[in-house]
Amino acid sequence: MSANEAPATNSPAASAWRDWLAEHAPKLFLFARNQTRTHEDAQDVLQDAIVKLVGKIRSGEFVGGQDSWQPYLYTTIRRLAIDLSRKNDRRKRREDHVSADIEAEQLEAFHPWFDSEGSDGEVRSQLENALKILPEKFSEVIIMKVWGERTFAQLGEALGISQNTAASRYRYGLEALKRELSSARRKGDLSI
Amino acid sequence: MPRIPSIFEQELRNASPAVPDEAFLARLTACAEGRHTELSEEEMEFGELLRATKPRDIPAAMKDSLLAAIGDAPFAIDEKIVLFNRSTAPSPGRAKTRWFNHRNIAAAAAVALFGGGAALLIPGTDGGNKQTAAGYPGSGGGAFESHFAPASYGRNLSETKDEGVIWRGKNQPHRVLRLKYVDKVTMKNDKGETFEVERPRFEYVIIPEKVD
Repeated sequence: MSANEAPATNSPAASAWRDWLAEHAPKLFLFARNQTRTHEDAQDVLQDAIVKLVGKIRSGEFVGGQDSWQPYLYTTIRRLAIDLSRKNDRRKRREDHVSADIEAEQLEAFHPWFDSEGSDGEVRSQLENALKILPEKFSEVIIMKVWGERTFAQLGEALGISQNTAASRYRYGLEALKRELSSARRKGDLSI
Repeated sequence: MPRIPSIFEQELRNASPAVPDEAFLARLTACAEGRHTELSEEEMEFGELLRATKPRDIPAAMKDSLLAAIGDAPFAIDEKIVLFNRSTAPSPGRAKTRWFNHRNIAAAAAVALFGGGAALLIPGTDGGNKQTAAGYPGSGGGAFESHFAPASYGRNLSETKDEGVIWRGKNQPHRVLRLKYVDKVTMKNDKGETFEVERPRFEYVIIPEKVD
């Protein structure tokens, strides 16, 4: 690199990517967490999805502007998570991973899904547990709708279902989430 | 010839399907009327309450790793403006493009609308296909024309030129950039023979200029 050339991390594009990541990466990561078993798997899946997107942008293959990035990423994260899950299942059939799973679950406790700012630890913990208990088909819709701020039409497209089905799953999910959180709310532990 | 139904079939027919419950009927009606995707106030409020708990940011090391991998990729602010890494600007034009060399400010370029270029260069109909093939020097007649199809499309920014500053409304200075693109289409036939069509294209970009 010559003296005239700015390092990539200081370039306008890098700065824009940094801002974009700051805004969108947390909610995409939350979705990746929901779709994978461990914190590390979620990191791998999110990173792969973003690198795939950027590869397509670089090669000029990607059709659409910035508005199309998130739908692409949600779809890709989901697909990669399914692929990874299949690989893990195959590996699990070959090896005894019971102790590894227990270890992974223990490690998960150190990687909460939600930020410590803006809500107390009890709320975060209860919400995370409630989302983990929910069947994935409901929790994925809730995460994409509430934190990803996707429309039902976008949800349907990403998940391969109709927007009416997405709306139904969202409602079922909200109801189930309310039920899960209701005991905590009754006790006054939660503000939601 | 009609078959005499068995007693079992008759019994099955006598059993009426259960009537859907009220909630399910209401849901079906809402779907039919296009209202099912409209959320109630209560549902929206609960969604807002959930949203108040923010997802955790990705780990700093992961962010650094991602930025290292993608930071030099073009970043589309919108359909027409793309930020890109300064070091990826085409080198032949660098000496002339003062705008790209002075200060460490954002480089911006107009993104050619892919569809427009493709529509001009990649014929969408058989007639258009023949026209393009026929226009290629040395094309050899009907058989040649009918089997060539677009195989790839590329676009390169080949030259940038700073045309200086103009003043527009409200005394706001704007810098004018002239960008030269070369659109390239590769046509390929069944035998694997290819030919390429290149066409230069110019675009002008006007960007608000900072005033010190």
